[in-house]
Amino acid sequence: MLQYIAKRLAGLAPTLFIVAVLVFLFVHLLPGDPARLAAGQDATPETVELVRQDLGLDKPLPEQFARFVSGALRGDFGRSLRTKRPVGTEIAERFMPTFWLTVTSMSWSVIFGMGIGVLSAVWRNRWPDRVGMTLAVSGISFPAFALGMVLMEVFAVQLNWLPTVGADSWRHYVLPSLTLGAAVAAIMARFTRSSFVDILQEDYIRTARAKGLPESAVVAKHGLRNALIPVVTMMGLQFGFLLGGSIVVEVVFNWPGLGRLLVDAVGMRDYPVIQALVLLFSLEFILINLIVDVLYGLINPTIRYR
Amino acid sequence: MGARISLTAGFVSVAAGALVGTLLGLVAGYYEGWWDRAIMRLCDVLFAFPGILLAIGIVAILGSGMANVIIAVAVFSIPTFARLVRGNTLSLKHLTYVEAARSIGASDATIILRHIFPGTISAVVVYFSMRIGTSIITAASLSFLGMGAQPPTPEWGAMLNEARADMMTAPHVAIFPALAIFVTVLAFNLLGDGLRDALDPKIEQK
Repeated sequence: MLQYIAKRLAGLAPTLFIVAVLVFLFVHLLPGDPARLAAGQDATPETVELVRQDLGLDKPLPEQFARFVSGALRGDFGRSLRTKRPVGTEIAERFMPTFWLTVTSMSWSVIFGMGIGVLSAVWRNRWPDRVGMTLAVSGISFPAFALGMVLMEVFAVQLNWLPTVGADSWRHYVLPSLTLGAAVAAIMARFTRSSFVDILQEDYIRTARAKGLPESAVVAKHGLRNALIPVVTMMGLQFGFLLGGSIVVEVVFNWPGLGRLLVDAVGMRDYPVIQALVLLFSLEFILINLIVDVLYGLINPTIRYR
Repeated sequence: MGARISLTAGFVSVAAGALVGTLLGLVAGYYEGWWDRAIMRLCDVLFAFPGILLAIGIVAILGSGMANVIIAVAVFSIPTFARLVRGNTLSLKHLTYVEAARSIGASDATIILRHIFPGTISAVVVYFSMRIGTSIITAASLSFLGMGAQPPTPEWGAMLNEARADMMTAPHVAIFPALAIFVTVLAFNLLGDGLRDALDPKIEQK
């Protein structure tokens, strides 16, 4: 097992390297001169030249890349062009709200989605299935930003039950995590249902029923454990969706997180911030996928890692 | 007006992504070896950017605007199609009829296009229809974030973004674009579900 994890970590290296090269080249792909962007619109040519030397943009590309990587490893991504503060500090401040938002969304949507999926599979083609699957297909069809606007209008503005923007108390988390988790819950429900429907056709389920186990034990012990295997994989993929989705939801709810930082940075062409965030997001995503693969082995004893 | 922009964006971007992805998948699956490794590594890298982050990155480079959003969403669809088609190609190319074609001296191009490609079509069509919904949402999200169509272009996402300021006085300005996105995406998702049930040989007729 440990060997497998080590092997997977080593396998990540080339992907990470290419991601780092792309993120590094990002600055050079930007239209216009990055030194001029950093110096500001009405800087004199001399100032631009000074900024270029200061940022190391006059050095050959490989040397710049080495500087970028060694800086990134130490958590140093330069300074934000907008606030002039270190990018690391900017990100550290915004990290926790996004982290908690993702965690709360993932938790409720997985529990809720799997619940609906199991109920739909057990009562296949009857009314719980129809209601569940109608909800699920609506869930994947409704864009998160529109759902967020509707929820905010109804529960925060009209009924005044919950706060609209900010991230100060648990009540602030309710609407954004509902918005962010809705699509994930819907996908989990559909996926759990189809995986469960397949499992319920298996011979060992018939055997379990034949030996007189109550239906609840058949579903919970024999069905759920086996159905969980593809569902866990799906969860990993959904994490990427959540990371991306949080960008939109954070803008709707004016959330002080990484997603809004990214959108603001793109708007202001604040490239050191964009660079660091893109690297951070993809690193998170790659690591989560690795964790999911390992979990997959833990719940599925038929897989042997070599 | 808005329908034309949003639908075109969804359709064109997936079509471009599917075309490139299918070609890459065919080449990777058929030749294996070096081509396969290079193409799959590229897909891994594209997959390493979660969700719409890749699209946002591309828009940040190219600048905002509807054409760039379409390019961004297309790039974002390439790896999934490439993987799908590669998997199919790998299993198809060992079938007897492909071997037969090779034994009568058919060129690689003929084998790929005439014998393997048709076998992958049904999977691609199913995935295509399911993907359009996602792409419409992604394109609308980018416009909503102010990176796509700029107001007053009546793209649905951009319309919603504009309506946000007047939610109190004129909620209908927001409701109708939202409904339009919902109904369109719902239609494509149901179409995809139906096509999958009809075309996917793995699902038995029960």
